[in-house]
Amino acid sequence: MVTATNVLCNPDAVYLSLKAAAGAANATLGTNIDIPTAEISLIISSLTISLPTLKVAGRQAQEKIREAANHVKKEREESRRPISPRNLREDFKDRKKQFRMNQLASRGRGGQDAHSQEIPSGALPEDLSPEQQPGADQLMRKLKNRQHGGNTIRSQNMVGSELHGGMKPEVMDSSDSSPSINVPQDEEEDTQQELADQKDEARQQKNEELTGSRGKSQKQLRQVSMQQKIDEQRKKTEKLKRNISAIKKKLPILVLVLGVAILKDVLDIVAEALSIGVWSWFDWLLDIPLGLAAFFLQIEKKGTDRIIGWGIMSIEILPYIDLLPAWTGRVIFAIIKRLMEMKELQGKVKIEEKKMEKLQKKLK
Amino acid sequence: MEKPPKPNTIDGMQVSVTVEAETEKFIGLLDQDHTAEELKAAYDGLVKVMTLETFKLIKEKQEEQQTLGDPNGDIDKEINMMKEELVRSVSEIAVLADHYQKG
Repeated sequence: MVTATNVLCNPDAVYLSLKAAAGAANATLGTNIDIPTAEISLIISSLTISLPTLKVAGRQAQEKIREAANHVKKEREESRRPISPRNLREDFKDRKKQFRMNQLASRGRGGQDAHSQEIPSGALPEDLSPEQQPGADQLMRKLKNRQHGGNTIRSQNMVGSELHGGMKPEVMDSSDSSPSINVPQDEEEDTQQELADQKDEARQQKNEELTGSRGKSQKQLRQVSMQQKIDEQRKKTEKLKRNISAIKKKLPILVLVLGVAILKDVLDIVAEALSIGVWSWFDWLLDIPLGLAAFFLQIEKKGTDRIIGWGIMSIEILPYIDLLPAWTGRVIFAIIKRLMEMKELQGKVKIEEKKMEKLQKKLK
Repeated sequence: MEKPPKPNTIDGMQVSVTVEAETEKFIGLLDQDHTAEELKAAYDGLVKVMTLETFKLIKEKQEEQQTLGDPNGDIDKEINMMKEELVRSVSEIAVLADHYQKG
């Protein structure tokens, strides 16, 4: 029985390793991520197990490491490499190679009870020798296959295919003597079928790359920021449109005010002509209520325009100036200003709408 | 020819290795004669790289959480699972390393 207390993997040691690694990773990435250290004891105590179980755990850990490594490698390659027919072919070759390796490994597992294989155990403990532990043997052979790369696989494939046509003793000697290499015709056909399936799967996977998790999250971020910009643009356009509609609503009132102003000016001119200078001293009785009405109706929007309007009105106090159509002039000036403003706003709305269309096209 | 991956920096030290390379180094040691120091160094290297890679993924998730929000706490759960998986993997590797060291 192997216990957690007498091994390197006791909770304190794992805690220290993880703490150091987490500190380094946080410093590198500028993050502040903690690790649930409370669970370490639980996990380690659950790993205080008998030797056979420990071996299984060891193998699982190895597989997990391999999976993690492959996953990270694949992600990096995916993010780095553009999708091209050449890359697709390379991916397919890799998958084919991996599939072949898995097949050979599984056949080796089936045939090794009858034939012991000479694999150097090195630092392996006795109980992990191939005779005692078939899984360990498989792992070692997989490791060797990986270390030797494609050469071993190629040579094994060659042996497998040449068995039907004629053996080559030197090749047989140099390769593994496992009977798993002797692949019957029907099995070979199955393998071809599975390889075709793998090819289809590779194609599907490449299509899915476009919507992969990393790419997807980045795409989502871009979409969200784009959507925010569109919303801002829409608000701006809506505000401009509200201003235009406010001016449009005001125009009929201004036309009415213009009518009143014309009447007042006609009255002023006639009364001034008849009274010869007297009327201009009394017309303030009409000018003041009309001026207040103009103020509350806001016929002039800007402060400067109001000052100009009231300035014209003040001059009217002087005798004989009543002969000039001051009120009409003031209201026409206000109407022209409003129309100019509306035209300007409409131009702005067009520009903003074009911007929004561009953003919407980008989002699509 | 495909360019090699850019080196990472851990503890100010440049390590031009990926998780896979560290894994190969670690597994390779198990098959050869090795000293306890060598095994410990390979184990530490592997833990560091695995932690760094996990933290990178967690950082991405945290950024995603900040940008998109996480009303159901799904991203939080995912992050916790990633951390637990890291602890579990490191513990298992420690068991393996220790067992081979004893052997």
